[in-house]
Amino acid sequence: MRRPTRSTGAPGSPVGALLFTVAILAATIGSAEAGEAAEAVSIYRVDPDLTSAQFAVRHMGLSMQRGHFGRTRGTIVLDPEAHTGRIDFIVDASSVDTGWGPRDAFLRGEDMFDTVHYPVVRFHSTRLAFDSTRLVAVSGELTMHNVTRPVELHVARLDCGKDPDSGFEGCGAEVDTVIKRSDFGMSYALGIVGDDIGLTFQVTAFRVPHDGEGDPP
Amino acid sequence: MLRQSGASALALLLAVASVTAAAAEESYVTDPAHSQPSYEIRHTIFSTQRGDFTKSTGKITIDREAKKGSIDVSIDTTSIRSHDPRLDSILKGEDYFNVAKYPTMTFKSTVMRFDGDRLTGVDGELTMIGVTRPVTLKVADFQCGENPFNKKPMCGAEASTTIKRSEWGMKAGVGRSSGDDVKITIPIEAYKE
Repeated sequence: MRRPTRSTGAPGSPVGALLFTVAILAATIGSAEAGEAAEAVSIYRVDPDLTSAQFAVRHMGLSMQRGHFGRTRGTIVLDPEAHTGRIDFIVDASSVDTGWGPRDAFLRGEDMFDTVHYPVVRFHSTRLAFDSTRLVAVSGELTMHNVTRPVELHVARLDCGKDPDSGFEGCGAEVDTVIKRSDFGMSYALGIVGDDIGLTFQVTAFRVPHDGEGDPP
Repeated sequence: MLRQSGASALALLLAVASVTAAAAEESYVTDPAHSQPSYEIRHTIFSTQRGDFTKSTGKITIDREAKKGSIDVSIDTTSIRSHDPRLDSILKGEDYFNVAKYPTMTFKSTVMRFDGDRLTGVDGELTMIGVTRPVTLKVADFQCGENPFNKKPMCGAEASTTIKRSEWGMKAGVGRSSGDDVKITIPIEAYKE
């Protein structure tokens, strides 16, 4: 069995460590199958510059306010033939950005994300659902504000191919869900600021080469 | 005597009429922090990229009985944020918004559309990088109420439209790395003046 990836990222970096874990996981998946099945496993690394985690919330019943988190990272392992895979996605809670400083400071504060104590929002998949070979939904667990709850993600769009500029293989996806912030213990000003939070992830992830022919950007 | 009371009645009538007219037309000013225009555009085959403009001003007059009004919005193009600083500098440059030469873009309404007393759409003209073209905004969730914190009367809505940027002469990357269609979404919270 071949190694599914060469070493990627600095060994000491969180991304590198996460990717290494994922690589071992993928290797384990691969070893359970015939040699060709291992070929079907693709590992993708989320490109933070081309990925955003957006949220939308009703404000005073009058408008929909939106913001995003500027720092994300993650890895995606997909085997569309075997209908398996794994998604790990991490959001830096302190990178919350609504375009208005005082509101960002409030969101980072102890009434909301409390980023001093809970700096990271984390999602990991428990089950991937496919329609034929197309990923359509992801079940998993979201940890936010020190509370872990199950969530169902809907994959609204998934396009894979080669980046015309760089030639790197990658996938782009739009993934969405709605959560209740009160489920995660973030109940400040419910009734004035909505409980339902629409989450939309625009993810671009590049394939980690199997043979070490250069790294994606 | 009769003449005098007739004049008084006329004056009273005029006064009532002017009060009614003043009551029917209301003026609002947008709250910039809660009215940030955002855009979406396809990038290569992979992603939909989003960004926003953090600085804008807007004035709205509305007469819900006469079903007319006006909207003037001015957006500071230097406040564009794509969430990638390297891309921001490209977007501010000559091939895109050319902010040194065109620091603002504006929208001025020509026709306001109503369903009953609810605003549902606005026709107007968008001026961007020196080019003025007609656009139609869809207005959803128009409603008025009171800010629960400061008790000031205000209205909210969400305006949206999709434009082709090439019609304004912004053609860089169209058909190659990024799309021509740009979806624009503007949440609106506006205080009554």
